[in-house]
Amino acid sequence: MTSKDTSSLKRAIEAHKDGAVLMVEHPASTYIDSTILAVKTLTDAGYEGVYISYQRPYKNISDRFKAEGIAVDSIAFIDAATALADQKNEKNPKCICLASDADIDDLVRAVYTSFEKLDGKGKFVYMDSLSTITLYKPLSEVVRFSEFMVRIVRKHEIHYAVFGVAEDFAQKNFVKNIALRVDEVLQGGNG
Amino acid sequence: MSKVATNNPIEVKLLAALSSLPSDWVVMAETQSNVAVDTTIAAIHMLTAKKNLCIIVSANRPYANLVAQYKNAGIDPKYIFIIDCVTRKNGGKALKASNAVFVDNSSALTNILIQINECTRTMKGKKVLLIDSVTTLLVYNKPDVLARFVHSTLTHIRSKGVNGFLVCLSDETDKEVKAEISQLCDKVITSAE
Repeated sequence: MTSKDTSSLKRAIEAHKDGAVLMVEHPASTYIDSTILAVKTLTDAGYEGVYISYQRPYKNISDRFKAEGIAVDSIAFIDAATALADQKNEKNPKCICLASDADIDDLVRAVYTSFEKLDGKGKFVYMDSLSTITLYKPLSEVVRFSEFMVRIVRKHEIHYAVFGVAEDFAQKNFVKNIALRVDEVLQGGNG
Repeated sequence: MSKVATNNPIEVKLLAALSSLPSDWVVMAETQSNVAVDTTIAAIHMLTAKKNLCIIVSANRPYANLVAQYKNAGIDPKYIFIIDCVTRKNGGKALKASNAVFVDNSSALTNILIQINECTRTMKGKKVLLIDSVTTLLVYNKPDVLARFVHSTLTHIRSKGVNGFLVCLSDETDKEVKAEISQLCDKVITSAE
C-alpha cells in the first residue's frame, strides 16, 4: 500500500496505534528537509526514538533537528557516519558512535543500549537511509537489519520502525524486498 | 550567508539559494553543460568575495587554465587553493604553486581526500570545498566508489565546519549516484531555480 496524502506519516501513526513498520520515500533533492519533517511528526506525536545516522555526523544532524524545533532530548542518536569517514568521534551522552568496522550485530546492540536512554512509553527507531548504508554493508546484512526492525515492532518493544529511502531507489530489488516486509510505504516531503 | 552586491544573475540565484540554509551548508548545483563553467566561476566569485577560502577539486581544467579564468573574473587568488587532477594526467608538469597541489588523476580519490584533509587542517579561516565536477569524477570512477568518496568527504568537512559546493551536470550524471549524493546535501540548486 502506498499513501500519498499530504500528511502521510501523521495519518499512518494514527492508523497504526499499536505499532507499525514504515518506509518513507523521500525526494532525493529535499531529503534532509523531508527527513526532519518525518522525525518532527513522530516527536510531536509524543514518541521518543533512536535515530540511526549513516548520512551525517551527530553534531550536524542534531543541530539541524534543534533548528527545526525538534526536542532532541527525546532522541538518542547512533552515529555510524563519522567513523566511516575515518573521523574521530567526540563522546556525547546522547550519542553512540559506531566504529568503522561495526557490523549489523553491533548496530543492534547500539539500538538496545539507546533504548535505556529513553523514558517515554512510545518509542520509534528511525534509519536515515537504506541506500547510504548499502555503500558500506552487504545487502544481505541490510536485509538482516530490516528483519530485526520488523521483529522489535512485532514484539511490541517499540511502536514504530521507520526506514528512510530516496524515491529514486524505490525500484531497486533490495528496497522492494524490504518494502514487502513493512506495513506501509509512505511518500515523504509533507510530514 | 549575508548578501554581497552583485549584478551577475547566476550569483544572485546562488546567493538567494544559500541565504535560507544553516551556516554549515553543503549544496549541489545541478547545471546544464552550457552554463557549467559560468556557474562554477560565479560560485567561486561569490564565495571569495565573502572572504571564504575555496578549496577547489578540479577534474575538468588544469591549474594554469583555471588561474587565467579566475583572473579574468576578478577573483582574488589568495582565497583559492586548487587540487588539480588534470595537469599530471595529461602529461603536464606540476608547477610550483603556493596555492595548488597536483594529484595523478581523477581516479586518485584517496590522494584527493588526503589533500582535502590537509587543506582543512592547515588553512585558517572560513572554508568551502568546491568539487568541479561530480560528473567528471564519475567518468573516471565506479559509481559506488565515487558515492563512498563523496559520503566520506562530506562527513569529513561537516565534522570540521567546512561548507561544501558540488557541481554536477543535470543530464549527464548517473541518476542513482546523483540521487545518493543529493540526499547527503542540504539543498540541490538547479539552473532552473
